[in-house]
Amino acid sequence: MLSKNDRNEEKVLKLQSFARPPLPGGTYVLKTKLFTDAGKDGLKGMPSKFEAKEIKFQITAPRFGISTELIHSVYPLPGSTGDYQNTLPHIVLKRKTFCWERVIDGNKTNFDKPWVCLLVFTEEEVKLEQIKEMTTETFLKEDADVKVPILTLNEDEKIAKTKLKALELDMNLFKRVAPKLDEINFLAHNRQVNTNNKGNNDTNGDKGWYTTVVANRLPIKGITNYAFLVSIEGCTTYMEEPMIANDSRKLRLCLLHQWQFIDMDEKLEDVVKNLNNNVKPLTIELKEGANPTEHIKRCLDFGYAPINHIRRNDEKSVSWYRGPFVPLNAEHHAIKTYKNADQALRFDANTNMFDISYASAWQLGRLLALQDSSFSIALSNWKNAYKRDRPIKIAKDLLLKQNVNQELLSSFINDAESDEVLTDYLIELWNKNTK
Amino acid sequence: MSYNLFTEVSKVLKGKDKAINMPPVPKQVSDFLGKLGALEEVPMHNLIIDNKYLPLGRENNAEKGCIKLFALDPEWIECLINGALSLADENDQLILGEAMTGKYTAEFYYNEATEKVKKQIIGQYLPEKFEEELKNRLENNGVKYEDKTPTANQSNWKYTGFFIRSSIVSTWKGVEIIAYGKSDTTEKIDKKLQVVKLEQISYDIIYCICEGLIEKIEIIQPAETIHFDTSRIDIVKRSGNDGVLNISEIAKKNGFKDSAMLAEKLLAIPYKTELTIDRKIVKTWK
Repeated sequence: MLSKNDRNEEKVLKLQSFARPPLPGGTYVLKTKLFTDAGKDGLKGMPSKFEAKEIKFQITAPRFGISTELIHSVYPLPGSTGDYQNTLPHIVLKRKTFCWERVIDGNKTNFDKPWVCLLVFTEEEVKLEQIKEMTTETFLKEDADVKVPILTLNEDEKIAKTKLKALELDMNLFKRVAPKLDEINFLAHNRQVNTNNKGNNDTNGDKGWYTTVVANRLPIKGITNYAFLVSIEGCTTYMEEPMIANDSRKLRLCLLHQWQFIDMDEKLEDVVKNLNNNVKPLTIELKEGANPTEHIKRCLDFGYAPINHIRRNDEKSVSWYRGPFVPLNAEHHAIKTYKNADQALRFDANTNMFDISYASAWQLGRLLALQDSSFSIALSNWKNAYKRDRPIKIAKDLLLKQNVNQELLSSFINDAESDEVLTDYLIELWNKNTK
Repeated sequence: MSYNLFTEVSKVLKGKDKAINMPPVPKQVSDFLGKLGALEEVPMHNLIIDNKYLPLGRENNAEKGCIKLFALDPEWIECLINGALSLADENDQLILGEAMTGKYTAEFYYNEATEKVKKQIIGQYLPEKFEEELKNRLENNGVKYEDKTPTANQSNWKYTGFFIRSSIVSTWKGVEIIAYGKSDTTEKIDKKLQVVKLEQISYDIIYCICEGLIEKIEIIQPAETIHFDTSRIDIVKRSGNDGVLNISEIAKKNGFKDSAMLAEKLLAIPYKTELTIDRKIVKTWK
């Protein structure tokens, strides 16, 4: 659609420098004018002008906060420690147009500039107490010491008095760290990925599209780093101003998301390497020093876990259980049916314990079936139809081989003992033939 | 007249060929049984009852994590389905037998796989190209297009899988997993198995079930979480030595025109790890 850059045709990853929403957020006025020159052609009394109409409407786009559902992932992981020295922190959002849904300074030509940026500070530069919760009204109240973004609230926002998280930064710190206006374009982009080999659907973004916002600062080693996703709508003047010495002013920014991490020396490669050395069959792992008997060890090796079991007579005991996943090569044997869960109980004489795995599976299947009424109804209807129709069908087949006449039919009916369904059918057939 | 229709009918009813004249199984029934076979409605607690199966562990101040292999036990599934059918008839071997041929579950897996691919490609292709792309992608995932009959593995319930517990599951949200088995013709391990289930069940646990015997697993860092590696280009920092980059200078120096070019050059190569499974660690039932 509006893809400026569609490089990297490979299906692994597509990058795009920006995605324009159909309309950025804000208040719009739709003006209609209707006029006709029909009056001239003799249609007297026809007005040549009609009342002009104006329709006001809002395009709502996130402004003072974002839903956490919109966030796909952040890097480095919140609360994590790792070797991040050469990496730029970033945040991935699930909507393709997110970064361009507001115009940064109300100037339409700046539609390709993101309205958010990711700032990284150390715990020495920023204290978490600098984050305050306030309403939009107080947020925009400027005083001599605190500068605020230059924004106009629309009517809904004025009434709503939304609460937001405000971050008050030293003006000079902001100027030192924040990207310049000509840099912010470089710090947000779109990615499209192939979602074929992935798990859950909800992590798949906007048809595989994600927006990524990258920080412009490398993490500082050895201490806690904070990453703040802030709105820079209305902040362009502060971004461009040169630094002033001994500037005691503060700048209030709207905080959209935050997390922290510590830059240390733990490498992800080591984690993966450790993982590769720990491939095992799915069995319970005992604590070091545990010394189970031979019989118990055999059960554990077969994937069983001991669990508390309260029997029908309220007697407490311990039984073996495992799910459908076994640490063995399982085979399927002949079909076997159980009339109830208890029939599927098994007993291990070596450990004197019940194996309740199959009994639990049986009971679970029954409970799940009861939960699904469309299944249980369809099943019993089908069963009944089967019981009713099958003898009739067989009888029909057999009758075809015989030379059916009324005499024979009545003799069959006289034979009838218990099968009502079949008798009814034969009587019906007899009636038909008599007519 | 010695011929008794009723005894003849009951003879057939009790005869060997029980499936004779069986009316078609209703869709609600086959769908539900297919889902059960795929363990779709089964709570996680019944699948894995104890955390001790999946220890995270630490060693030398680093996380150990674990990959735990398993095979699916068809008898457990049979009991599950038997329980569900018990609502109408506990002794119903007919429909249980049908279900255990694996055909309902094969159908369920086929539908799931096509739905997933359709969701990805919808609106991106013209109708005539759509089917072609659908076919390609399905076959790339080991699914035969428009063929819902169970494969040999599916009818024998040969499914294997694994749990992964590791911080990579949370770091690499949306981690990609590809499983390989032995090729049908050669002994080479290069056949992409159909992943019938890949589900994250907690922030650091993911589990995967594949059709057939897994011989090799490939774990790939998801493309959307690839980080930015500044050692890949010449960087310019702003004065002040506090790690703040001079983005406009970097762009000028490297000739970046926009954010996509910058990302393309800075993105690290996705991390990929290959894991060949030693079949010896998996025992056979005795």
